[in-house]
Amino acid sequence: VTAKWKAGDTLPSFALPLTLRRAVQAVAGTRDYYEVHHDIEAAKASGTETVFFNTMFLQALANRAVTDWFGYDAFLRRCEVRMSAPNYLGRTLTVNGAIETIREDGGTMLDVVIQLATEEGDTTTILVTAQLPPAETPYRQYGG
Amino acid sequence: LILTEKQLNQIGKESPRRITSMAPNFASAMQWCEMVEDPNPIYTDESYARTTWLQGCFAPPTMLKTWDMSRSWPVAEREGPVADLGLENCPSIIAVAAVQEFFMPIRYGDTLSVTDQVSSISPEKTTRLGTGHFVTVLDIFRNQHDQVVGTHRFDLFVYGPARTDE
Repeated sequence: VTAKWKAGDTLPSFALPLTLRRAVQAVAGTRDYYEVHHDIEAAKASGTETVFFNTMFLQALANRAVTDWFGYDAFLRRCEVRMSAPNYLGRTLTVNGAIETIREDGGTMLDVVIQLATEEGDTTTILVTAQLPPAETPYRQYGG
Repeated sequence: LILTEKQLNQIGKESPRRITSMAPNFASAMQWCEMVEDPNPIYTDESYARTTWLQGCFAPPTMLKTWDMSRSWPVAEREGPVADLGLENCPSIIAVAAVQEFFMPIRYGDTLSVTDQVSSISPEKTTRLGTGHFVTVLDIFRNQHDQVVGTHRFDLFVYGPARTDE
């Protein structure tokens, strides 16, 4: 089942523009009404440049990346988000990933490092562990 | 600023278990997928999801914390253990890191409950954002069968304007 991937593999990158529309979707979608995520003046007063995207949004993005890369039936086991710089409104987020290890631990586990960057450089590192379907489960292409 | 006895006593104290502010549901999951353009049909298409080893639709695992975001109406709900701490001159919060672990799928219609606790509070620190404390909060989520479905640990910086006195 892991023949498709090996440690060190680089995963296809993708981008997501951090528009105001998406900021609104993120506030509603994560139910996080803390001012710094929707009120530019409040964000500035808190010491940041402008509104920035919250942690739950980044967790959602990591979750999407995992099943985009490893199949819709890969199950996320662990997600560690480490913020080093804010993901500001108006930037474009680029998502890159690489497989760190593949191991057996009550199932086949992939440890993956996801790096998020904007035009200004790296903002966030996300360490995820995804569990692949058991070998005896035939993978079914969606719609197939 | 020195932590009070009351604040120190809250470290490691698990809150009573309560039902999350929202029950895991399909409509909220759709909003969640829309914001990051997650096309995974395992969250939406039962006939597909049933053919997989995960045996049916479930909510995106990372939604864990969202199910317990407090409501502001009709009653303003308790905001959480950080607000309870009442750290003086620290009106702002920023996340530094977050660790989620997932033990099983959360199904639409599950009844989720949660406990929270402050795991640690640092001495006063000054960063480029201001002066405050690093606070770690742990949420433990269980389903209606008393199974722990997931945990969420938040490392936060709780702060206010920089202080150089004392």
